[in-house]
Amino acid sequence: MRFVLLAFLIVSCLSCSRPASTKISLRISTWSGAGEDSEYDRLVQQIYRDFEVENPDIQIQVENMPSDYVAKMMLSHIAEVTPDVVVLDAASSALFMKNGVLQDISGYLANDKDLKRDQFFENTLLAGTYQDKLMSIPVDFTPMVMYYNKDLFDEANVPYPANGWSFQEFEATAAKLTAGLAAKKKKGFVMSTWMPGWVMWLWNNGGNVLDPTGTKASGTLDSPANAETIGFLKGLVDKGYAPKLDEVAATGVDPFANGDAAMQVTGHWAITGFKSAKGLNWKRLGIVSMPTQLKSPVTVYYESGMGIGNRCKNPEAAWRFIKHFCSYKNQLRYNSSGIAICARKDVAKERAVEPIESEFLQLVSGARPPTGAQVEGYSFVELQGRSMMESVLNGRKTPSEALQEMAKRIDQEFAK
Amino acid sequence: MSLLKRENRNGWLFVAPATLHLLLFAILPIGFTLYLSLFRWKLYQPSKSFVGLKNYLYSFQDPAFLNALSNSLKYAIVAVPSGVIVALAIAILLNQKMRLSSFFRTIYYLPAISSGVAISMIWIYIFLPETGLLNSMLSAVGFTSVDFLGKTETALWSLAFMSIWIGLGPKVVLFLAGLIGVPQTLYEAAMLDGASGWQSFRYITMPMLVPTSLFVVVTSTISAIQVFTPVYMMTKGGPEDSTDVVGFHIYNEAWISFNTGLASAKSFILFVLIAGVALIQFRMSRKQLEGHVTQ
Repeated sequence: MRFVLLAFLIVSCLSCSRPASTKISLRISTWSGAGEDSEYDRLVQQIYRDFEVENPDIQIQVENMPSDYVAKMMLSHIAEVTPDVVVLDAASSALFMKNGVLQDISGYLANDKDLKRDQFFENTLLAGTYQDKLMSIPVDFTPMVMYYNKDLFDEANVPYPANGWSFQEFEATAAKLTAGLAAKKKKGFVMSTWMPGWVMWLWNNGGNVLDPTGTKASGTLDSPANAETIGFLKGLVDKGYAPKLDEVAATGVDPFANGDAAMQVTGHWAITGFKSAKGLNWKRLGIVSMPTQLKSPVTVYYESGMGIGNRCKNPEAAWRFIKHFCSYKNQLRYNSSGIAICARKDVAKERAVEPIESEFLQLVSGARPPTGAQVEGYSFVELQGRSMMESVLNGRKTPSEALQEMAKRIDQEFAK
Repeated sequence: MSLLKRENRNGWLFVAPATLHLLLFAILPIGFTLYLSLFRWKLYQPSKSFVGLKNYLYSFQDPAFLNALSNSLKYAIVAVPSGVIVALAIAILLNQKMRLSSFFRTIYYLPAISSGVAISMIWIYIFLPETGLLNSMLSAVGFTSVDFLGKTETALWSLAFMSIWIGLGPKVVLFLAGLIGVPQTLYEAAMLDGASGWQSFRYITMPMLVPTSLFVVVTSTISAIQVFTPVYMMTKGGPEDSTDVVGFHIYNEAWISFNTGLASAKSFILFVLIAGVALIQFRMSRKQLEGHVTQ
C-alpha cells in the first residue's frame, strides 16, 4: 500500500511539474531605476513587451542599476555575469570597450537587411567604435549647445546670436544683456562647474585636456590657450555678466530655467525641464553653436548606446533586440519623450517639427564624442575638472595654477 | 567526558556562530585587504603585479589622500566632542522626572533608525542658501545668508554640525542608561553634605559616567573617521575637495578609478588609524576608569 501511495505521489508530482522553459533569457542592463512608473519608463517597458510578443522564444530580464552603473557593470564583468545587452553612456564607454565587456557587432550591422550604418548620424557611431570595431549602436544623443531666451534678448533689445560667433561676440552679448536686464537683476549668462558642460570651451580656443595619446595632461591641459579660456570664463563672473557660484546656489534653482539668466550651455535633455519651468516660455528658446575662436565651432555630444555583452550566449537574440529597439517605429515612440535626439537620421528629422529641434540638427555635424569614449578612467578627470573650476570661480586660484595642479593630479592618476 | 570539558564544548558551540561571523565578515576581509594592498591592480584587469609596500609609500605621498585624512580628522575633532556634550546634556534633561520624557526619548532616537540617504536629502534643504530652513532662521535674526555646503570655509563644519543631530539618539540612550545606573544614595549623601548641583554633577555623575563616556567617545570617533553617506549625498567631496573625507576618497579610488590595490592600502591605513585612535583613547581613559572602579 505504501509503495502504491509513493508511486502515485511521484507520478502526480511529475505530471504537475511544468516543462522546463525553452525560452532564451535575455538580460538587459540599464541605469534607469526599477518601477519608476514615469511616462518614459512605461514607454520603454512597452517596447520590451512588444519584443517578447514578436519574439515568443525570448524572455527579457531587465537589470536596473540606477546608481554607480559603471562600477556595477565592471563588477558584473569580472564576475563573468555581464548582461547580454549592455546600455552604455558614451562618457564612460572606453572603459567597457577596451576591457572586453562588449563584443564586436560590426558584422551584425554590415549584414543586416533592415538596420544600416548610413541610417545613423555618422559621428554618433564614433562613440561606440574601438580600433575600427563597432561595439555599440547609438540610440540617442545630444550635442552641448548654447540656449538663449528670446524673450530676455527682446527685453534687453539685443539681437539673437548666430552660429559661428566668437568669444568676443559672446562676451559683448552677455554684457549687453546684463546691462539691459539690470533693473530686474537678471544676468546675461550662467556658468556651470560641471566639466562635461564646459570642456568644449577649451576645444573652441584650440585647447584640449589630454595629449593625443590620451595618457598625459601636463603640457596640454595647462597650456596658455586653456588658461586664457578659463580666465575668459572667470572674467564673465567677475564682470557680473554671470552670477557667482554662491549666487546660483542661493536661489536653489537653475537661473536659466527661472528666467534669471539669458544664456546657458546644456544639452537637449534640458528641454523637458524647460517645458515645465515657470520662469520661461520654452517655445521662445533658441539654440546656437558654442562661441569659437576657430574657423568652425566644435562641441561635445553625449550619447547612450546599446552593445552586446562579451559573454552573451545568444548574440543573435541580443542583436534582434537591439534591432527591435533601434527600429524606425520604436525609435519614433522612444524619442517622443523628447529627452534627446534620435541617432537615426530619419527619426530625428521627422521629430524636428519644432524650430528648436531643427536648430539642434544643424549643430550635429560639429559634435565630437566625449573623451571618455576614447580614454578609460576619464571620470576622474571630470571630477578634477569640477574642483578646478570651483577653485577658479571662487577666486582661490588663478587659471594657470589651477590647471597646472589639475594636470599634475591627472598624470599621477594615469600613472597609478 | 568531564563536566569541564563538556562545558567548554558547549561554550564553544554557543560562541561558534558569532565567531564564524567575525571570521568571515571581519577578520577574513581585513586579511584579504592587506593581501590586495600589496599588489598593483585595476579591478577589471585579470593580472595583478606584486609591489610590496609601494602602495603604502605612494599613499603617504599622495596629497589628495593626505588632504582626505586631514579632513576626516578635522571632522572627528569637531563632531565627536560636540556630539558627546550635546548628547550628555540632553540625556541629563531627559533623566529628570518630567512629562513627555518618553516622547522626547523617541524623538531623539528617530534619526538613528532613519535612512542616512533620506536624512542627507533633508539636510540639503535645511542648508540651502536663502530659502533653506537654517538660513531662514538666521535671516529672521538679522544674519545674511550663508551657502553652508558651497563654501570651502563652511562645508565640512556644516556636515559635522549635522552629525551631532544624526548621532544623538544612540548616544543619548547610552548616557541615559549610565545616568540611571548611578545610585541615588550617592546624590542623597552629597545633598546631606551640602553639595551644590554642579558639585554633584562634577564629583558623582561625571566619574560614574566614565565607562559610558569612554564607549561613546570611542564609537563616535570610529564612525566620525568613517563618515561617508552625507559626503556622498550632499557634497561629493566638494567644494574644492574641502569635504573629501577618507571614506569617500577610498570609495572613489576603488569605484571611480578602480585602483583596487591602492584603495586596499588606503583602507588598511584607515583601519590602523582607527585602531590607533581607539587605543590611545582607551589608554588615556584607563586611569580614570581605574579610578572609577576603585571608587
